[in-house]
Amino acid sequence: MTLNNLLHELKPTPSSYLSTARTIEAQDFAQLRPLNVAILSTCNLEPLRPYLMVECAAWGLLVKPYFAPFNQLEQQVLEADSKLYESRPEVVVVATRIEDMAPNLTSRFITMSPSDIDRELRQIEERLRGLAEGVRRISTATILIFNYLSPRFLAAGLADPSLPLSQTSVIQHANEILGDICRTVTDAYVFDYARIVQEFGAQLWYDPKLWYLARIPLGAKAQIETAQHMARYLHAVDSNPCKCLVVDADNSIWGGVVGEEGLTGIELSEDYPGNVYKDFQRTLLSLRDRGVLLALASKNNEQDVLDVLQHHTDCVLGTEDFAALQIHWGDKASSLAAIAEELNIGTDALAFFDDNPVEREWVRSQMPEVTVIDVPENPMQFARALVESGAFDHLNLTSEDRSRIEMYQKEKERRQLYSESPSIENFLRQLEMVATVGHVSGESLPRIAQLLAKTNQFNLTTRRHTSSEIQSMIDAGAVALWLRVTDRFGDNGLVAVAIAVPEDSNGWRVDTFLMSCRVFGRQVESILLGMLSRVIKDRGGEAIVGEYIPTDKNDIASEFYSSHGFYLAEDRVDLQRWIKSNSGIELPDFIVVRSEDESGTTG
Amino acid sequence: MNQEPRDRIYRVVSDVVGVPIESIDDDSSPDSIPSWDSASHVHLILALEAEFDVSLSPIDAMEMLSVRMIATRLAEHNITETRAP
Repeated sequence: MTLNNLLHELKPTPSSYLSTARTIEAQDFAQLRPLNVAILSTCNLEPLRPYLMVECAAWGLLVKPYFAPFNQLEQQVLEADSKLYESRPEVVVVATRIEDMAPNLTSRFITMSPSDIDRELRQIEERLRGLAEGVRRISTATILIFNYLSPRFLAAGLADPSLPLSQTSVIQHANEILGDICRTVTDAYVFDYARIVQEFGAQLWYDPKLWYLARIPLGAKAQIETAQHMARYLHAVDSNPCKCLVVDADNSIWGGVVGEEGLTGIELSEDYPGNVYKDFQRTLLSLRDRGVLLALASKNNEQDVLDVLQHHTDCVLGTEDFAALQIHWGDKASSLAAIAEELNIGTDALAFFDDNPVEREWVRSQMPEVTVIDVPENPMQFARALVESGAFDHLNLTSEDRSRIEMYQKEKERRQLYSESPSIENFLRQLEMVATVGHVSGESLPRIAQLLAKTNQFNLTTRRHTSSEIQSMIDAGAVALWLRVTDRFGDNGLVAVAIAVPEDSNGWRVDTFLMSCRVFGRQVESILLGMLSRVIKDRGGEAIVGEYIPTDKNDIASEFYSSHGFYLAEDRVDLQRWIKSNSGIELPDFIVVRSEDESGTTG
Repeated sequence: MNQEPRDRIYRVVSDVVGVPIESIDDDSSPDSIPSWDSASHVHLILALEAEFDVSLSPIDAMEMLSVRMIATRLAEHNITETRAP
């Protein structure tokens, strides 16, 4: 059979390519010009061999590529007597993945500072330049270097474009560095792998008929895809992301049942099938980097699970990565309730991931407010199901989000201290709290509005004023104060807000009073009320009227005014009014109070 | 389909591992065909997926270690003979 006939009969299937490649290799068609190609890579590209042979034959080239054992780059390039040079290459292809060159840039991106990122980029540059120059020193072969793809899942999810330094732009930067290297090393060129992947997708995307007939820039499948992704954004706009992901252990974050198979019997490793679970743990860790709290709810003997978290060499997640652990034989709905309580968040802020459909159904039936994620049977699809569930979609990632996780961890330490301290007052004293109070101004307005929007529990009136509404209130004479608190474990951030408006000649109405539950039970609220009372007094306010609007969630604040000496003046189902003459409020003496001018903090 | 699954499996194995189709039977396996090594096994799985338009799981892939096992596993994906072999 002639080469032309052979290629003419080629079908786009693996078996057709394989048998065609075999024929080309066996026949050594005289019209093909041999070209020695060597391929170095950080992953397994050898399956490309038959396809490359066939496609090269169509261009008149006889290519029988040499594939170096994967992940042998420097070993092959820097030794003049290596297999690479033994193959007398005329072209050397270098294919590295960003995941292999700089794993942190893909999986731990959120935790990296700009200087960390810079360091990683410089290391990639050094390594690629070393490889290109290494080949050039020993051989005259043309060098083709693969550029980099964005990772499969962006560390910040939908919020990536909003990051000051987005992950996508960092990968792009790595590709520009590669371009620089290729410009300075003779006969070195970029193999634009990223573009090929994009074009392959674009081929499925466009339907020329729709464009020319009706100016529709996307085909039917692309319309579905676009709608699905846009719906995810709209969902993110419309609802609050979950704050905590509760995961199961057995067959969720590792394969098998640890109670039966034991520490060494479970599937968790660098090889199939353990690598599927290990990768899923990396996905969980990157969610945690984003500020999502992780909690574990597992029906097991506690020690069995702790052994894995603490001692299994391939266990990515450690006990310190979990904000709460519920490992016992009790039912999962109770575990979820306990986790919410421990973390001081509502159960509606929980998402639940469990491979067992019975557990999912149980939680769904007991706690309809929990986001129960539909877990596919195949663990290779766990990460995608989790990411695409939208449970943690944020269009924006604030530094507050990122530090939240640390704050909760410190909260855990605080609780330990609490259980060690004999009296509550002693405990509070040991915290060495410093509260700073300031007037709300332009700079702090967005954060204030955010707190108003998301605080549900210790929120006396649950009024969701926007930034501009708050500004108008201030312009009309209202007093708006913020409070932030630090303690020996660190900065809790801006945690409380009060807004009071002058009502008649000498009374002031507290329109808004709220506090993050992170600091509940530490009498921080008394500081803010006391400071509010002083500011009002300075402005001639002789009485304070506190309002309480009961909701499903704010019962925790129902005794706030009574415990501060207010009397109930009006008691409707939908509104209570509490009154107190403005004779001062006693401030707890274990919290040091500063005004913003003293500390230089503006919130 | 104008060909029974069994014939199509033989054809795919022959193309991928490079042995004449006449030499293949239900007992053919990596033990009896030296060129059916781990590298060509990956190609074989991809070729079967393309031939039968199915998505095979890693477990399918690891267990399809003879022509007979390939046929059994494909039958579980509802790819079966229409006549007695």
